[in-house]
Amino acid sequence: MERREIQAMGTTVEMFVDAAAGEAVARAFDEACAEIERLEALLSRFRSESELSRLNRRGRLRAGDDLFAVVALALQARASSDGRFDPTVHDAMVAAGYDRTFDDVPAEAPPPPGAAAPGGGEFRIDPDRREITLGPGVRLDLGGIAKGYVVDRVAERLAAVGPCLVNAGGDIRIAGPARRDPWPVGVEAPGEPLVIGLHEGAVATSGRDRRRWRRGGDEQHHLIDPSIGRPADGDLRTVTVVAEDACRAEVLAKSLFLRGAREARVEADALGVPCVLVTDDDRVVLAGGLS
Amino acid sequence: MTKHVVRAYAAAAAVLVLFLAWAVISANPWATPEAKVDQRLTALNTREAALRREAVQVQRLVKRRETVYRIRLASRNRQIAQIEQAHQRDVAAARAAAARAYTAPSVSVVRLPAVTVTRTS
Repeated sequence: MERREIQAMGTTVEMFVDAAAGEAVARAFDEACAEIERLEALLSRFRSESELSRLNRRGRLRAGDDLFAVVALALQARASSDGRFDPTVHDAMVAAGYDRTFDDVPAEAPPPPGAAAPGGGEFRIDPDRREITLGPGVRLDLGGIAKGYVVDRVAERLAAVGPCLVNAGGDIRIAGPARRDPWPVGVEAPGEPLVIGLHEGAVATSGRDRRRWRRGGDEQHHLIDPSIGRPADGDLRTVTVVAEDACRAEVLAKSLFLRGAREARVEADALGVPCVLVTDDDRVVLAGGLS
Repeated sequence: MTKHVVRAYAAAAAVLVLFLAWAVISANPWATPEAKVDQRLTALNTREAALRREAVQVQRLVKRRETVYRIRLASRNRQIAQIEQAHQRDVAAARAAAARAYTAPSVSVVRLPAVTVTRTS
């Protein structure tokens, strides 16, 4: 088993390839690292020259393949989640205080002047012209899906040299030829260690146990409820979802998180989405057929 | 009376006649008051006619521009309606695809040491 670790996208990215060490694997890791850096430079809202930042400044952009693909996925995700996943919460995120890379966000500060900014902003894509158009005053934050996109792209590259697993701060994708044993993935949960085994697919976790800070004494976190434009309330601490790819897993995890424990369990069972729900009172609920 | 005195009287009388004639001519007693009013009215009528012509031209221009604007507005409204319909179709298709295409990978709880851990990203 070969492993490479880098710091990118504000987190640690781990890559595993189940193959003997060699030049091909080393080259694949190098290419994967370059791909991560390239995609981060395009999709980060914290880099002023990223393609996403240019789109947010101009309101209209003829986009490259990757930004266009991620925005198209985000549009589809907003529709399929009934708006619980919404990339137009950029201003709400900034208003909550998450206006710079998380490492630079002060743990405690006065409340920012911006008001709550609900989602539902207009944005359109024109597949023929590869053009993205934002409504007046709308800016996109692709933080809820771009990491999954990067993980998917990198895993698909690494799959050429063997069974692989890519984990970017909790967004995991497994790809490549099937292994005899499943990939064992730990899920952070209170009590006994919980490990799930997968031969393929992806895992993502959303929660408010990390990426938290305080503004004016009130706790803030990065999961914005688009219906109110503020960090979501609820009785869930984390939601871990298994899906076919990391983009989808990220969207489903956030969407279920906003549902709250009872409704998330109902929805996961109805859709057959395997998931682990951890509630604020330390209950661990397996749903969606996971056992 | 001497000849010089007669000449002085004659000159004074001529000057008096001249001033009287000037005053009479300046008073223009032969011009009727109607004629003065007519000139002003004529000027006003001319001006009114010119303004009416200009107003008609402006109205024609405004009407032409309004027609063009209404045609463009109708065209734009049709475009917006088409885009909105297409968007609604895309949304419906996305929802249908999301509901239809979901196939979760096989997964179960295992008793193996974890190779990596998922946590809030």
